[in-house]
Amino acid sequence: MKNVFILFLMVSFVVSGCVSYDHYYKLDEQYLARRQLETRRYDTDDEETLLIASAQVLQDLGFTLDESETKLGLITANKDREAGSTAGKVGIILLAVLAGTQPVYDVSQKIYVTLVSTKNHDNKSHNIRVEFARVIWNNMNQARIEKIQDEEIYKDFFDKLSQSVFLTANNI
Amino acid sequence: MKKILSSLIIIIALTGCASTHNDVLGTSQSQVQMRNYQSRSFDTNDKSLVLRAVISTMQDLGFIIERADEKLGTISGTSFSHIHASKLTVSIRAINDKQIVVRANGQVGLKALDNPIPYQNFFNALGQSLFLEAHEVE
Repeated sequence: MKNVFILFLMVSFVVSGCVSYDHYYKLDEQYLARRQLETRRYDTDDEETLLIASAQVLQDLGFTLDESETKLGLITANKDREAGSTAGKVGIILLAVLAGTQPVYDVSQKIYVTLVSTKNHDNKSHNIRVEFARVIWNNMNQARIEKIQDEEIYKDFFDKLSQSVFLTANNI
Repeated sequence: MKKILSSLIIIIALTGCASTHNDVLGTSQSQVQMRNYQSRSFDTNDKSLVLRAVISTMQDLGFIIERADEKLGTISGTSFSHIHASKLTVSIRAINDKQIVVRANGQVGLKALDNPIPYQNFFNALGQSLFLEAHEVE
């Protein structure tokens, strides 16, 4: 049994050394749908004001800004937060105690956001494209990464940005 | 017999695909080859257009853009679309009044991406993005 396990490990090692990367950097079928979800058009030719309003809304949401390159219309930011609710964690711990296993629950998360503005060809409007992703750590110190594709989150963000554009335009 | 078999498996496991990786990093010939498949030129002198197209393409490919520098013409991002996270840096430079060279280099997990096909995929997508933007097709 032990030998079979060692053999399995060795074969896995050999196979993992020869992983194919041919499908990397290839557009998938959902890219246009993703682009649509992540993009909103704003009828202004003033990119600077749009970026200031974007930075403001990111601050409203508790993000700290990492990087900005206004000449390319880019802002990146992140925030650290607790992951999972206390009630959920208690439930997982109780279940684990009953089952006699080690409880595994999410502890913390780092949320990343990238925002890019692009001038449209009509020269009168800009598109804002925003992307959210997060890294979640559990109590075993294991991390998993996921891109956030929840329609509600994007809708909510753009609504807040619309409001921020209005507030910034009115110096509020 | 068992010992010989185990030794053989260990040797195969240790060598794996390592020889090809060594070739990429080894000689100047390999560096030329690498630059060749990591670079593509585009018939435009508009640096900003190309940089913005690179950002847009990387976003279409699922990259989170981490940093960009307009002056240096570099953009870096990370993708979580596959099992292993992938990092990509793209740089652009004008080689004459009419052409801009775009170079990309990536890593997947802890390995440098030394296979030309993903770069080909990237440049196909970039070409498509430049075409889309030039013709306002969305």
